[in-house]
Amino acid sequence: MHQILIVDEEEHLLWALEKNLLPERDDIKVMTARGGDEGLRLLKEEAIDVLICDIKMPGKVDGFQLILRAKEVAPDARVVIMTAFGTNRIQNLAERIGITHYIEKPFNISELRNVVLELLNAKEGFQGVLSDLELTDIIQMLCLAKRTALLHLKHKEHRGKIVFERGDVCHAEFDDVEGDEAVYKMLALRQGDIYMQSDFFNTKRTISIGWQDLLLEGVRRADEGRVEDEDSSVIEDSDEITLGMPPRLVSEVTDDYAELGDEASRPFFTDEELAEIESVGNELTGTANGFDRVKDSGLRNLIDLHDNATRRSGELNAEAVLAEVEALEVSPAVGIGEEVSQPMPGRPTDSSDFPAQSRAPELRRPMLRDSAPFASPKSASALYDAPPKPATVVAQDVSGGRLDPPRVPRSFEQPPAPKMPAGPAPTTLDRSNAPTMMLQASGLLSSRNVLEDFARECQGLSVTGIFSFEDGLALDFYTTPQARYEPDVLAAFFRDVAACADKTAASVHPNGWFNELQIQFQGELILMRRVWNTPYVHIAAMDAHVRLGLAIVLMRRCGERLSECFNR
Amino acid sequence: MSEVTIFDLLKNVSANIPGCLMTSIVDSESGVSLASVGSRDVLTEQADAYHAEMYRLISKSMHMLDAEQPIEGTVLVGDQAIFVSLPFSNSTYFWQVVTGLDTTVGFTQALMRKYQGEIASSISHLLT
Repeated sequence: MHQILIVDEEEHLLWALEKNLLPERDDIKVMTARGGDEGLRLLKEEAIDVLICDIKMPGKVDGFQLILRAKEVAPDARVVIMTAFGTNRIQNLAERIGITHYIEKPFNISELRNVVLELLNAKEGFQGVLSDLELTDIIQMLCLAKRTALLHLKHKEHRGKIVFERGDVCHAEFDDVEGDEAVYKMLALRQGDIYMQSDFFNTKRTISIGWQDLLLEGVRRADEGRVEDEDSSVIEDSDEITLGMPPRLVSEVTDDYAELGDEASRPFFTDEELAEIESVGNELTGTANGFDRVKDSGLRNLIDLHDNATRRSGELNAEAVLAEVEALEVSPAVGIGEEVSQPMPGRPTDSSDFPAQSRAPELRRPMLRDSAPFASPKSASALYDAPPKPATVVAQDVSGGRLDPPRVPRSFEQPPAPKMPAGPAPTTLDRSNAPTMMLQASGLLSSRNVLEDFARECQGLSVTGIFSFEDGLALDFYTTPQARYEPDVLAAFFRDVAACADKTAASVHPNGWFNELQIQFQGELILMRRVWNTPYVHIAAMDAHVRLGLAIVLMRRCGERLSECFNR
Repeated sequence: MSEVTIFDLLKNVSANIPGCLMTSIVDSESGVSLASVGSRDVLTEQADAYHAEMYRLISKSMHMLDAEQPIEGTVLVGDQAIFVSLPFSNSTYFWQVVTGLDTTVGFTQALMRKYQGEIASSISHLLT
């Protein structure tokens, strides 16, 4: 049973989707939630396969927060974003946090249905027994469906596999044989177990001819082999050894396929999904060797449907086959297919939805200049005949006397020694022991007021809020109409900046931490400040022309109040 | 008259900032310092490396937020020290000065601006 969760504030849309998304599929359950909070609860309680959610939602948990939290609580769930605010900006943000499936409101239900089925298909393979079907048919259908898949085959002690890449047969192995010959040998088999794997990684290309030519040649060879077998009178069941289709039928299928036009040429998997398959394939390929246990009816059904379609029309109709293939691909896989399709334990399972870290384009890759001049203080100093060791600094007042404690920029005066958590630095607060949720529950209500007060007083503010230092999740944010950033995304990225600021501060003292960070841009100022005695950081983005000193003082006051809120 | 080196400039600056713990010119791409002057109590290489990493993360974050813009300066207030930095335009290098908590940030920044031109020229001279 697949479970789909749709989260949106529009009740009528939820009702319509629940009733009409996939009404004919008894194996798919559609659940709905009217807000992020309820959605998060369902994500925690149910095994959700696909999460479809709006971005803009009222309540404490909006769409982005829900997606980010889904990464933790339901890592298997694929995510589809739907929003009426279909700007490029939202789409870019979605892509940046690794969401590749995006649909704009208003949309046709069939559009969403296709996306959902595509996602469900990508999560599973199918398996079957070769004794009742033709391998040529399977190859044909996978090629027509433009599938990227790995077909494993087992016959007694023999092992084979065929790799399909967007509908092309690009590689095959059968025992020690590779390439076309391996396919021909497999086509000549009368029986065997097969298993189709969607998650795999292949770098080999041993087959260069088209799949039609490959099948024709395979059929020809099989026919020759059959003649030889007939000559030697060893044939027991003439029905079973009819391999493949007559050449005429193959050419008709090819023609039909050509007529499908753009629809047929549409890649079954997107580039992102292919990348995902590649990324997980290394880990999974090695596990796909247990197909001998497979006794599933999925592929049998597929072939039955194909046979029926063929019988009905008297010839193979490519469009019908394509539709049947797509319909069957979403049937639940059991046995080894499901085992192999499952993620390896302990790793993020859905790299297409949450690969923000790995897929985020690096702005600048650090250039290591080991051999370049000035690569180190030593090399730099060598140029100047200066000793590489650090000089001792003698601090002195420019006016000749001792500087009074700074009064003008008091903004950097440290607050009265707050009680920091005992033990490790705040970054390592143990959330399992700390009652974070209680902190949130008790503090969020009043923190909203504090943030609103801060926003009222701080001229030029665009967005302000609190995020968790530990995981970068946005707790509560206040945005103005001038806000340029999505709070969740701002929090997620600047959490890393805060963590690095901690490490920088630790260069002076091993247990040092950062209290405050000002980042000045040409047109903007971003301030971050740790909220004392909590695992949270207060962040604010404002116009560059704001009075910095005032903003810092306000932020400090705000931080004290926030600390009180969460420690009350 | 002997040429003033970048080290001379950094020593001048550090000598003129009360409570200066270290100062360095760092390549934000590699995290390696071009020149550094500092107290033995500070892990200068760590400060350079992580400060550079912070620059990279900020740039990356702004890029991700579709709001890419050059950094004009940062002030990091830690529990033990203050890290003030100024990037050099048209260059991947930035200048950081680390002071004790008692040192006024405004003063540090003013002095850095005063020497910024000379240090930029020195870097340019070095790298060409």
